Amino acid sequence: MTSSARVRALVACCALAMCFTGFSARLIYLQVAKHDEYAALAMATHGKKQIIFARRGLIMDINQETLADNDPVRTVVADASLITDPDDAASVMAQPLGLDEADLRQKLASGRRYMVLKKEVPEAVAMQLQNRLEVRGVRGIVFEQDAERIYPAGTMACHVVGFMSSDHVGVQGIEAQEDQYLCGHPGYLYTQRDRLGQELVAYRGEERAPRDGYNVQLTIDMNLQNIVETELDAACKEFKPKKAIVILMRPQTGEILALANRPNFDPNDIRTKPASYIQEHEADMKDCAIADEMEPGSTFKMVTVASALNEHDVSPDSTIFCENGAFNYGGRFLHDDHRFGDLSVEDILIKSSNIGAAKLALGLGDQRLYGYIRAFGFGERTGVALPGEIPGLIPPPHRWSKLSITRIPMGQEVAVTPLQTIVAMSAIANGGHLMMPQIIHQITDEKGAPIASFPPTEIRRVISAETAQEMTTALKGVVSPRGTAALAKVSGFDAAGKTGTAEKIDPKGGYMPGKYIVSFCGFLPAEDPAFICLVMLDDAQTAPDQDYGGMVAGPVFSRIGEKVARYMNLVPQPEIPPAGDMVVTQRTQHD
Amino acid sequence: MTNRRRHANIVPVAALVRWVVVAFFLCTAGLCYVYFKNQMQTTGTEIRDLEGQLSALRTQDDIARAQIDRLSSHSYLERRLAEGFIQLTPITDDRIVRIHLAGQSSGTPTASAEGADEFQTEANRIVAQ
Repeated sequence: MTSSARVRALVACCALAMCFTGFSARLIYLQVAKHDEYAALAMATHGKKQIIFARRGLIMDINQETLADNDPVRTVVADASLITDPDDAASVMAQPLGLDEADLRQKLASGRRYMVLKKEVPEAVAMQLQNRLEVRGVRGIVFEQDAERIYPAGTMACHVVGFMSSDHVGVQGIEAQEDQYLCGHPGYLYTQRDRLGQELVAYRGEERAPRDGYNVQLTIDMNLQNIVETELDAACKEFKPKKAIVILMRPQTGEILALANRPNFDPNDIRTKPASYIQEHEADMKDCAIADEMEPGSTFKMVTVASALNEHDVSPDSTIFCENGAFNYGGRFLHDDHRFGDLSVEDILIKSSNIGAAKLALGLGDQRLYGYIRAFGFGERTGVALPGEIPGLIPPPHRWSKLSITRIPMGQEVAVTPLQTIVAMSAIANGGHLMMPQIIHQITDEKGAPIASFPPTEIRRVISAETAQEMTTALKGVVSPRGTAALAKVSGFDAAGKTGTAEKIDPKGGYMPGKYIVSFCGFLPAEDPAFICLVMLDDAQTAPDQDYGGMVAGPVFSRIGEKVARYMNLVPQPEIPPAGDMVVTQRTQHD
Repeated sequence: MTNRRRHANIVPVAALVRWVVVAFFLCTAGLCYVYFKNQMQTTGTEIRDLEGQLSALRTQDDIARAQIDRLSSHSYLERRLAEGFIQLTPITDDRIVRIHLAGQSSGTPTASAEGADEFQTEANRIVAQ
């Protein structure tokens, strides 16, 4: 090779080397320096983070009957950058989705990469539409999985179950309280797609499987709930109260077996109504059993009498002089409806004497009475797993007026929730043990394996077993023909309970004349209670001489008790026929 | 002369074989790569289809369950009962049999063969009392 040839070869080699060095430098620049930028661009163009839908957990009753379920629906989403013929796509989709074709055409021509066209499209409609789009070769329409919440029981137990907002967040009831367990965690999957939008499975990226929401099993028994709701409807039809509440509990465990409020609502309606619907019907949706406070009236006498008996200040047979119906204390008269003279402590409950209760409280003193009121659970939240529970209002003794010691024992000057009342009565039915009310039986995963269980929880012992027995005997007398709740009797069973007739507080001050909150809280069988039931009606429309707890709430309790006893397979006891017709012999203003 | 021809026509068999093996190995590797890549793509498509079917089945299952829940709910049955679609006959006392055991006042008692009068209809028991 001549020297000139060698030079030419060297130049050519150098030129080639420089050329490849340039290519290499560019390659290194693109692959290393600009890696993140181009990787992101590639991911944005061909990659996608696909969200994997997680099903919300179910809410079930104690017998696994579903109270809240999911109905699969689809959200129709468009990637307009992939749509080549917006006119054709709009003509196919407008009618099945119920959208205006011109609007849809405009949207599909916008070129936006993510547009929600329609939510909550039924599965059948979505599948039909998907097939039509495939036949027409329309790309860029995705049917995302979703679910709408349905409540098969409708209005039944609506305040317990609650409902969800349109953005899938629990708003009330168990839906709100257990939202963190119910909602689950959606999964995700990074995918790559080809030009036709088909997933390249071989290039799948990071994946996280979804976790479905946990199922919540309540202590509510829908068969008992049905009994309660039916009787509550009948009572509302008869008395047309402003509000009505029934709670059914098992005293030994604190399990709430049924809970019904009136007015009520259908949670299925909420998603179809405008957003203002919730605000307009807020009062209907309020769970008054836990979120409404009221003066309890004479049912509160159980606390006074139980306290006096437990302190051994008196025995059930001790005699209290009831001042012949008018007791002057602190410069004000306290009245009974009847002119009672000497009454035994037991009879103070049976005949619901205000003066007798006041005198027992005077014997106890303000500190001891206050201590027992708090020990029975008043003035603090019961701890039930429902949102919005209020503690009620029990003023401490240093804020009491001179008259308070005579008014609080008969259920005035204090504010309690219906749930607190039934929980306090449960303590008497349960031998003095105050139990925390339970609404959730257990939380399970989608396969039914328990995640959390809620065993019965004793809060404290309030009174001795002996006092509880004495109270039970006295409360049995209340349901006897000589008591204030003769109409609460359940055929074949010994029931025990206490009536209450509280004047309604006027928001402007004082009481509303002629308006009462009547209640009855009782349990049966008295000696070995299978259930305890509270019936409360606010402003029942009845004759003034009939507007008493024993006359209005008592019969409702009786009807519920009879059906519940049969459902629970309680064996009726032989009855001794009454000597004469059953009459309500005594009623006081606050019975 | 003979030796020179022999030297000129010599075939480097060993090297040739070595190159043939290398080429064969490379070809096989390339073909395997293409085959497996193809296989992966086919399997991926199958996986995607099966996932789609599984998802559709789950959805159908959810729809069916929601429908069952709706149709077996208390409120729906109450409505059908009111419409007269379902006929329910109340259970009368002569059709209820209770097993009465000594010392048991409530709850569901257990059966016992002792005592002939333990099995008794509720109606007869009320008459007897």
